[in-house]
Amino acid sequence: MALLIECPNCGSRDVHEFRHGGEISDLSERKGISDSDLELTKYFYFARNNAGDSKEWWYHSFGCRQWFVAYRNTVSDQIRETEWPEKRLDS
Amino acid sequence: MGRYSQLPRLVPSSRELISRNKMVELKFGRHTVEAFEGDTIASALYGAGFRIFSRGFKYHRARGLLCVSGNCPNCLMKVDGIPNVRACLTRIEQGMKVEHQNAWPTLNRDLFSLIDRLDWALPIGFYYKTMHRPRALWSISSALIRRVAGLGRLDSIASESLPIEYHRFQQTNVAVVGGGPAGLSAALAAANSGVDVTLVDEQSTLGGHLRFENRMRTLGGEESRNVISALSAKVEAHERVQVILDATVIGRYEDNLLGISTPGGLIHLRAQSIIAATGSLEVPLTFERNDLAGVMLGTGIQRLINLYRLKPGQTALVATTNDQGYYTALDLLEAGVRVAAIADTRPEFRSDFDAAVTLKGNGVLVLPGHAIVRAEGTRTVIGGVVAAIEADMPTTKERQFDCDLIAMSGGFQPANYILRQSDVGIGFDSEFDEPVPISSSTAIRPAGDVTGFHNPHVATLQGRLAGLSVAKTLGMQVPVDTISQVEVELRNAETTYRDKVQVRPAPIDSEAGVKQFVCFCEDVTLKDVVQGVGEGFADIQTLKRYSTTTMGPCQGKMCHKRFVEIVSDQTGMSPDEVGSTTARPPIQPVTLGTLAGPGHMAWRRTPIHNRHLIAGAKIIETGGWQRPHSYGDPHDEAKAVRERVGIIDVSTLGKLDVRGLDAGQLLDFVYTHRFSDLRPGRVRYGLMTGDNGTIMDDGTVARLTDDRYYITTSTANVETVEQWFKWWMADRQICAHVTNITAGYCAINVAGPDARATLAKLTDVELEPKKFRYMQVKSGQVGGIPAMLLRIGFVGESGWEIHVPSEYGEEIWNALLTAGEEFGITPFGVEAQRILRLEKMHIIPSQDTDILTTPFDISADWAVKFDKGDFVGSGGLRIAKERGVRDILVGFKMRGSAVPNDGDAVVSESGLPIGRITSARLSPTMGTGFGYARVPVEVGVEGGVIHIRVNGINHLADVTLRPFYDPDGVRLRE
Ligand code: FES
Repeated sequence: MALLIECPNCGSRDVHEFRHGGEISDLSERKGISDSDLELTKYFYFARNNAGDSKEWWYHSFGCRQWFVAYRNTVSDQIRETEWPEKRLDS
Repeated sequence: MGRYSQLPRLVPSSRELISRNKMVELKFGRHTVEAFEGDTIASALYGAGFRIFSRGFKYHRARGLLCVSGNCPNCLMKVDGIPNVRACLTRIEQGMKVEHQNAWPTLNRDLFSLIDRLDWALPIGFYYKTMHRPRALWSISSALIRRVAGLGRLDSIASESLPIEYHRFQQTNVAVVGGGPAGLSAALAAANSGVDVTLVDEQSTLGGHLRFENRMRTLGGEESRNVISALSAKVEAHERVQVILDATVIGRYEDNLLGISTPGGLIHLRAQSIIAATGSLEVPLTFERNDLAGVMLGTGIQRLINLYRLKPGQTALVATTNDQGYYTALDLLEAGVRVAAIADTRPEFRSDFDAAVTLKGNGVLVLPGHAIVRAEGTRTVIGGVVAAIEADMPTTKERQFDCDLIAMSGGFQPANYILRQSDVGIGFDSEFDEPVPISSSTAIRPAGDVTGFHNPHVATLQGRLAGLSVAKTLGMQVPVDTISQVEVELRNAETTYRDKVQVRPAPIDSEAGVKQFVCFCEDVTLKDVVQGVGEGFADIQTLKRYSTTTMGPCQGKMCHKRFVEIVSDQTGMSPDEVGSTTARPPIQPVTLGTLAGPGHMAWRRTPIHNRHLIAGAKIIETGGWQRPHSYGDPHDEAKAVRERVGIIDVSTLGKLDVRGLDAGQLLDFVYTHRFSDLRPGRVRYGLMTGDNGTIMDDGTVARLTDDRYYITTSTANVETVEQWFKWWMADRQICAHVTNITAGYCAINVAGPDARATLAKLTDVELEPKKFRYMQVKSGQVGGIPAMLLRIGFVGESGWEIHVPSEYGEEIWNALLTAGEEFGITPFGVEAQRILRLEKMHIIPSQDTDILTTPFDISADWAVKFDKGDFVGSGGLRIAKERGVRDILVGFKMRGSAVPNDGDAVVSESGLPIGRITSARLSPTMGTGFGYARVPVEVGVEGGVIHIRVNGINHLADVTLRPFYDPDGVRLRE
């Protein structure tokens, strides 16, 4: 696990302060009442689990208690960048 | 039963670790042993004349000290109740209780050693070969094997009184592992360049092997022992260096995290960069009876002589494959031990080899081209036999020597474990006859003996270079000239060393005897390994598992090198092709107590906790809190609530303050219910599911003003719910603020027929049924304190939940008790609450539901509002609705007197399990067992009958879908 994570609010902190919230991918894109059973099932139970670049949710439990987005390489465990989710929605 | 004092030690030396004027006593079994302060358990016992320290794992052969450096299994003992303590690393303390392990009745006469004669019955892989049939015997034989084999026993009573070992989390720029010449030079160079350094060493003093040996008498023209003590002093005094001694690195983990076991507990050290100056380990030779007490590693003997000033024996035979044996012999001579001969596997040695010249000058018999073939003796050494080598094999040209000590050196094995736990590449250097680092990494750099160069001059330069390079990588200004100057010096020193190095691995002759031990931990012999290869286990990884070589407490520190040599010899593969076993942590033995650390659960207490203690409450730990289970008989408490009035401390409820423009929208989205239409001043039950429609949590939602809600969650779930809300806010870009105010508020529920009369005495809020309706929230004063009152069902009586700032908790609690005194007010605990709520069929999420339970499965269809549009769980709930309910949660009431337990089975008429009891209690109101059961929907119908298996007997129970108590909810509205 990466040594330090740059919380957009608190700065770099040890990984123990954070909770990992899973990947953000086409499969994690929320599906609702009007989506097909197949789409919903994929959303509930599947993940890309990409070996390499992964965009993820992280939560700073022992800090500002906010969710943010991190770009992590799942092989090297290096976190390239972190940002607030707003940016994610704009882009 | 005896008293042992120390035999005379050698003349004092500046390097000794003992204080001769301070005596300390320890207990060894039934004996009392007197020794010097600074002695280890091993040196104290050795000095008092003890030679047998343990018994072998399998054959129970007598074993003495081998490495004296904490790297073999031979000195493991039980110390003050802790098993498997390495006696040679543990300094004695007054009154310490030391016991031997794995021998019965005594170390000297271990009856289990009869197994030694049964070696023919214990071939390699005997676990796999002999234990298959008959199957029935396995339980007996395995119990027997466990009794006879293995290491120390855990004393469960003693372990309760062990000191708590804390975990500490630290960070540093550079971690230097190893405090020898390389580590010290590296630490100093890095610290002088401006970075923070943490230096870790397993020993109690700095200096590494130069603490006890004379491999190089001078360094840069000065006595090497003076150079090293000056260096140690500089490092210890340096403001940028933290030195941690008596500390063992047990592993290197991801992103340069080091686990360090210290007497005070485990340190988790994160380092931007690591310098591995971990040194190397001398390893044994393989010959017949090489495990007798008195056969020791040369460096082990040197430690005894130079650190503890022990005279290790009277006459020694030295057997070596490299220069080290000669240095040992020099120390033996200095200690007054007669050296009978030196058997050197190398056919010749350099004429400028000073040590050999000196020894010869002292009349020592040096035998080049000779290998030791056997030791003589039964428990301890009485002699040794060497033979001339021809064509890589010992011949019959043998010579016998009487001796009580055999010093052996089978060469060095680098202590490269943390390197192998990183991405540094390791390859075999055939000139050195050792695996060496062949590629580098910026995260971790090797320096010193671990690189295969056993030369303090080289080590010092490698250390300095590593320290400077690390500082540079970390952004410090390090003059390029300085670095290149050290590089040039180092290259010259390395070349000089390499030109002179001479090693010749010892011959491998499996015919020379059946007691040639390769692995001392697991009692694996040369014959076993050869046989294993013959049986087809030519791959070192599978051969390791089959033979258990390298799998004992030392994790291959003593045997890995020889193991590779044997496999290479038997298969014809080069050592590089043979490879090595995986260096998994822990590198050194570590106790479970160290890993576990102190209790990690921080229990929370409510603001009223002390009142509960004074009232004599029985406290239980639940959902992260310490709460009163009951104050007396929970049934009496429950009755008091139903008949009079009771109060309960519910401060443990999770409390969230949700406000903002979109607060209502947020709640509509995360709950299955609708909340945006809740009028201010009203309260509504809330049920929350995951997006797949399964229940997460429930609680109450009170709307205080248009844009402010006050939410309670179940006790254990508030963190999860808070994160959940915030996650959806972030994901959906909902504008609201969620604050966890659980600790800020104290909550007390007052309930029962006399609740109104009790509370009315304290508050200005009108409590009349018409004025304060069921499911309303109001604020006002209670006992002069600003409070929020929620009128909710909770236990099914008319009642109020009073929320006040935590500081006032005790005061309100006391005020309520006084006000209710005339009505017989009774505090009640979690147990009564459970009974009361169960009678009303209120679920406990995670107790009565599991990860597959949907709201439909608990008949809470009314709480799911599909018409409000999309919400978390709507997709999953739609699928669940279409699929229909399979298992349903229903109430049950026992027909007889049996009371089931939580988790008992509901069975079909033929006795097959079809469901389970999620909650069950004895009802004080009904006088029978009752509760919740999860059963197939066909069975779970009003008026149905189910069979419940209680203690193996099936009992009948009636199914009900309506609350047991006050099914129409009249009382709570009164
Ligand atoms: S003699 Fe103590 S561990 Fe080897």
